[in-house]
Amino acid sequence: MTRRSGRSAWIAAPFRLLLQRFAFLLLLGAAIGLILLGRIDRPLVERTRAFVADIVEPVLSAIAQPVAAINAMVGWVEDILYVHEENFRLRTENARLLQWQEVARRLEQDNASLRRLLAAGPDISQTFVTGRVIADGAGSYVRSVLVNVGAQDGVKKGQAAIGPGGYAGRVAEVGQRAARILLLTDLNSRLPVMLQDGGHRAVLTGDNSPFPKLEYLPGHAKLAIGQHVVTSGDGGQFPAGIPVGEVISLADGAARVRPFVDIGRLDFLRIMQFDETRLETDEPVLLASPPQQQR
Amino acid sequence: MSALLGQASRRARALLPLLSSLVLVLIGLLPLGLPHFGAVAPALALMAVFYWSIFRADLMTMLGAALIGLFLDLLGGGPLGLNTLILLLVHALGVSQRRIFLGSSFLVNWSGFALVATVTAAGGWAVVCLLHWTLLPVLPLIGQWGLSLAIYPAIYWLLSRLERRYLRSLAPI
Repeated sequence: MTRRSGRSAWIAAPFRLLLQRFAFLLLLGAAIGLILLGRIDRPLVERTRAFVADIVEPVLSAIAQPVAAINAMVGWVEDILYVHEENFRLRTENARLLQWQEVARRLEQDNASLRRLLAAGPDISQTFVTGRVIADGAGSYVRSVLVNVGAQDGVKKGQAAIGPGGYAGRVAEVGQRAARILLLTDLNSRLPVMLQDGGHRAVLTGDNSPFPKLEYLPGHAKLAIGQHVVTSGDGGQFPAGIPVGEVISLADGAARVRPFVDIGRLDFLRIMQFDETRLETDEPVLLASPPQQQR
Repeated sequence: MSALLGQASRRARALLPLLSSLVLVLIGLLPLGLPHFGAVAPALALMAVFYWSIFRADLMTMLGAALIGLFLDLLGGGPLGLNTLILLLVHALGVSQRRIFLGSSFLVNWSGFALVATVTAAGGWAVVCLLHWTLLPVLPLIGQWGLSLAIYPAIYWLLSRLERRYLRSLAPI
């Protein structure tokens, strides 16, 4: 058997070593350059990322399906194990929800009659496109997932991704077939929100921990544990009133919010396609948030 | 004809280290449905590059390591270039220290990986903290580190099987 032939055979060993050192330094420099580029030219990086995600999407989608099927099976076994507790929980919840249904009916009537009085236009209808989460193990430095819907399904950058329970994140990069969702817990996530009681505006800032921080809240706003936080709609990419989470701690001046969405376990996300131009009134759209008592 | 086929097969097998690493990157990104797994997903690419740079440095080139890192950076959504940098350095370390690992037991290899995982985790954390000028939570990082260490034997076994099955006959340099 012959050893590798070709150029390397006649380049003298010391020279080859030098060349290798040079190539190593070059690649090292390129890597550091990339880190800096990622900070400077975000659009370029986003486009490249979306491009690569598009290429890999069919593979990831294909593998994600059997994985999801296995997960479903595990879930099925869990369901059977906990069927009694679950049944009890559902009964109590059902009783509670029936009361809410009553309230909702009354408010719906109220709302309809008030709308007639104001001669307001019909509710803004949003359309959704649902995508499967095809990648999430992005590591310790980022909280984002890839979904298998993209520009061809009408997904645009900045749109809201809704999971079971409420707001999960926003579309950060869009390819033709895939999109990256920046979760609300990510370091780079800044979500305009408001307190459901009182409507004080604030910004929900992610820091890679499971509980994002509530910032820029006006001084006179009264915070309490258990208060619900919803999107404020500032920025115009999605409507106000999407449930986000509840305040769980007020330790040393920083209020922390626990998202309603189980961020650690996302299967499907609905991307809300919200067209700002259809918004005729600047009235918030109530979306599955419990009604407030008006005085 | 058969010589040509043999040549093609050799070429294809020579790509195995790179391809196996890329597949591990994809597997590492899969949503496994375990709570918060994404944040502590083991560093599979790191294992692959560490393994191949020791045992088949001829087939895992520094360009290959950089490409794997870039692929992981682009797909994972983390800071671009960080994994490229980390895997380049790990590759350089693996290649330069391979004499230590080649003749020694798996335990030595495992310890070596533990050291590399510790240094890369700490270094990566420091770089990201600097980039964002904030202190990031350390807990997921420790989780990732522990999980990586725990899974490394399985990946080592898998890759060594691959190597024995397909690459033994390929002459090393």
